[in-house]
Amino acid sequence: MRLGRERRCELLAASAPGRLVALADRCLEDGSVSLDLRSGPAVGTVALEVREPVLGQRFILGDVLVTSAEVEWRGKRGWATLLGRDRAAALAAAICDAELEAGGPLSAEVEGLCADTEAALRAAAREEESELAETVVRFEELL
Amino acid sequence: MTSSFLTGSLALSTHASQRCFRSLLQALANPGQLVTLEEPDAVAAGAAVIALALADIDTPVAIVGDEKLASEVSEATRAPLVPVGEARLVALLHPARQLVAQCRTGSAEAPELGAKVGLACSGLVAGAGGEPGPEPNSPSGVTLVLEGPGVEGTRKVFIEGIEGDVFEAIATSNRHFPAGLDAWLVGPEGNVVGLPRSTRIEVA
Amino acid sequence: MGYAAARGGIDAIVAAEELVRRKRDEGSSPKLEVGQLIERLGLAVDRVVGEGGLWAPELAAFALRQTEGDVIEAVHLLRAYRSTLPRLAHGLVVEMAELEILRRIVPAYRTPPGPQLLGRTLDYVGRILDTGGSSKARPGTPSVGAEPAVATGERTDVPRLYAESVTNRPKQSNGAPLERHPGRLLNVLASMDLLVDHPRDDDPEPFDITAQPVRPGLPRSAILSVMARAETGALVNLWYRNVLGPDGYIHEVTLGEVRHGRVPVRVLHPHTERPVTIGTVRVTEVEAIEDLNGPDEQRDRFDVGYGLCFGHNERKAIAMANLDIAVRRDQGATMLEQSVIMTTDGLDASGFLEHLKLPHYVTFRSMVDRKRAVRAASPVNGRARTGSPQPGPAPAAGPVAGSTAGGDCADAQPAGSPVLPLGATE
Repeated sequence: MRLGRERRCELLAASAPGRLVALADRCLEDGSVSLDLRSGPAVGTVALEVREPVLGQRFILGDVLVTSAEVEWRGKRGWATLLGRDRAAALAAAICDAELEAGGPLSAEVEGLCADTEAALRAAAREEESELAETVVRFEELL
Repeated sequence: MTSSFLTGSLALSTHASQRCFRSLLQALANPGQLVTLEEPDAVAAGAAVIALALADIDTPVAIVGDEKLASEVSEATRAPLVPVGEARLVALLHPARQLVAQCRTGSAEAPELGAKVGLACSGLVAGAGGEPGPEPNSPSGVTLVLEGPGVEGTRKVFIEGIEGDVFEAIATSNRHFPAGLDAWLVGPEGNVVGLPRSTRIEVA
Repeated sequence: MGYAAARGGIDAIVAAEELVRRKRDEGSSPKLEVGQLIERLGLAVDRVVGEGGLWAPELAAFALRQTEGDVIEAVHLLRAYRSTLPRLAHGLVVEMAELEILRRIVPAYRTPPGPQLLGRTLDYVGRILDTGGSSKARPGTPSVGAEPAVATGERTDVPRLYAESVTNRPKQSNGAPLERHPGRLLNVLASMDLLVDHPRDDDPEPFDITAQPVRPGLPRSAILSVMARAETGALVNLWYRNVLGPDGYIHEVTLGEVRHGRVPVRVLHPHTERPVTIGTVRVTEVEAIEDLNGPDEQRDRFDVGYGLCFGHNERKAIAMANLDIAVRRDQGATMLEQSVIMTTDGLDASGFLEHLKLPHYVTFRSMVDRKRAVRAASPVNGRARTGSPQPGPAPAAGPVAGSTAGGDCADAQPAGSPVLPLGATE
């Protein structure tokens, strides 16, 4: 199944940094293509705006630390932004994004990484839910 | 408000913009003393380096005198372009009295609203250390005599390419300290001299 | 005017820092890893994140370690660091119905929509000091809500998100799926027509307290932002003082919702202009139900105060929700709004306080001089209080400044020199 562009970015942003960097390094082994750094990798913030439910008013809860990078690789733009301060992971995710966008030789591996991440997230969510479910209060009626 | 990201090619790297910030701060802390920017991209931007190095998505900027450069800097920093009178960072590529007079000065209660202004000049001679500065070496320029915090005694700066009345406009904007504007003279080859609002400027 | 500029102390400052560094980094126990702080002292890390106004648990842990656990100093480091960063984007607005709960209790109502989910908490167990000897290390202790331990600089092979919740304990699910986005008590009250109706016809841009100075008379969006990054103790104190203390402006609320959970951080993809969730952050959210009882208020209805902050910090969110409704009901009648805006920021307060430790030699000398000037100008020339001990004989006439021993001030002003003018500053 082919992932949408946005979902792919989400999964790459959530992927294990070690695997991202290793995969991007393998992409870069293709010496016939040069990597053009369009921007970053830059550490900065994203302002987190929320709408509170009482009066429906927006306010800024605070900033979120992110790292963002954009590259041109195999004639396609790759983009990544992830939480935290990790320039190597952001750059690697942008390269992986472009590799897949351009249909490069390691596309299948990028898709595989995304699939692994998605499976891991699902398993973690299931695990979390079953842990939490044990803490639901069940009241006894006292008559 | 929408989200958007750096996508421009003019964008300075994190370290380059940090070094520029440091140099610009150094210049403001030592009025009239020559500071040299060393990042090639920053030098190439001329007076617009003020915006390129300091602006982000929330910083309204005005770059007057080169529309192409203005849009490139805006693309690189994502800073919104606004009229001079609304900008926090202003770059005047052809400084004129009327433009300086439009720059925000803030107020005694809100001096932080005063603009930071880059003024392009074609020649700039100033002392690099504690020296009093140069004697005029060309009849076509302006010599400023500076005095105030950060200046021991007085210091002289020689400028080509900016009319004397521009400095009178700066002095007028700064007459109600702490309201006022902070300026940098940006010459060729990354040479920069700071003129903070606390500096008294006399055109010799 | 006898002002003698002085410099020095650099060597002493460097040596003092070295004393801190040596004990902190080279003590007899193993060096503290930031991964440990995130995992084992998560609530302290969350406080720094929240009061710093920057979701960056790893940096908050570094800051806590660097400041030897001084939360306010750690917040200072985080705020200073944040001030050097560019804003890369504004996130898309998070609707709070998107909060995925990790814990949710409704103290006001036993059977709200969705579960009473205790989640990860020590709220209901005895406060019995565990000195380690009797601790039963239970296998598979839940780790929900902790951060992934990626802070050591090593690249892990665990996905960045939810790495926190992966434990190896097989679990039995007990049937019904857990409701993670339950409805709010607020909406239950509204459906019972028991809530004050708030018109929602405008949607003002929120005030950004990191870009504009905070002064009284600001919109509610600014007050909420101020409280979201306020010092926890300051909010709790302000709340308590106003409930029990001399002010008595506000009364005790009933809590509708107390939630800890995750919200998505979304930005627009720069090429497709469609939203991308780049990660999640944890927040604590509180609804405080207020019993309206003022003569001009709708006494047959409730109103609700709102609290929200980064991380798991229920104390703070509860105080914030209570203060939100109190400020709205107060409508500027008392000093409450000003107190919230001007006195709850930890960095403001501690920065002002800490500066008192810096040398004040010159301002204090001018105060001494003023005392002498007052005495010199008085009709009895300073001899009114003959019973009080005097350090030396005062001359019968003329300026007295400098004529008595004045400690470290005396050397700067020769005897008989003119009195310093009032208002001398340093």
